[in-house]
Amino acid sequence: MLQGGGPPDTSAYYRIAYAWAAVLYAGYSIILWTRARRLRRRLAARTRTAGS
Amino acid sequence: MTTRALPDDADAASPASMGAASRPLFDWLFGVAVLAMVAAFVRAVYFTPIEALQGAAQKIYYVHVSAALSAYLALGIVALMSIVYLWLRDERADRLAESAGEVALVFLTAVLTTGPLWGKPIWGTWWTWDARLTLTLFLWFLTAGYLVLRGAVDDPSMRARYSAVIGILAALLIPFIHLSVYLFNTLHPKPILLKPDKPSMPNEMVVTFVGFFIACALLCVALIRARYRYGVARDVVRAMDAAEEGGE
Repeated sequence: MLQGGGPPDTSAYYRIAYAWAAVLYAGYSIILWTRARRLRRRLAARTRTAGS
Repeated sequence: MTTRALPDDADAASPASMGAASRPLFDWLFGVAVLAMVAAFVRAVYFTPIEALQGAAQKIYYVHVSAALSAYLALGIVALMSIVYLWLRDERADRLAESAGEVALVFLTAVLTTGPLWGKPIWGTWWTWDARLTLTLFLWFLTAGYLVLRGAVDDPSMRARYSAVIGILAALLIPFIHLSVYLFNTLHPKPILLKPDKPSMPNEMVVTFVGFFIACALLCVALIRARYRYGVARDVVRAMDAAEEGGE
């Protein structure tokens, strides 16, 4: 791990951690957006049914 | 005691409640939070020095601790809104507690997964049954249990009451988690910033951390806000379903 007396090369762990955090936050946002879109479609369908 | 509803929720088909339900999920605050997160990631990755002893893995600190503090913020909202609900029986407080609970679980998941990614190169192990790690895992289970309970109880006022009690109890774990490194002989490092003395890291790293925390807290609030809006729309649909069933 040590490279010529410098700090150990632990960059792979931090890259995975940052990528994973980004995936987690983006993933939850997308899931929330998908759930809301499904709900809005239901709401729109209901409004159309109530209007006709 | 009856549950007090939002005035615009009183009539599910009213223009006010339909308007509330069709508001965009993600607004300017979410945009600002995303930009802040991108800036925080770029600063941490490209413009913050690598620590001499731990190497690049030390940078996990910014994402890990910011996620932990954001989870505490969300769980604090859960506890506060749970108290408000038990006091006023206001549906809005229950809905906000639910939203914050879901977002807290996301941030707690980030904490529990980025921690081992730091632990492996530094401690030589992914996980240890250290007091802080174990208590944080308990908090994750309590938060997950809080959300499972919400899905399992049909009656809205009973659901809100039971989950409010669990929400308050879950948040009571936070001070113990913070103090666990002082109360027990743990492997987990002691606080570097959240302590009475001066921070034990250079100013450059402190600035990166503060920026990361602000971005993470903004994202946390923006997600809670979006989840709350989703909750409003869901409750309007549920009320319409109930009205339709009642009319048949």
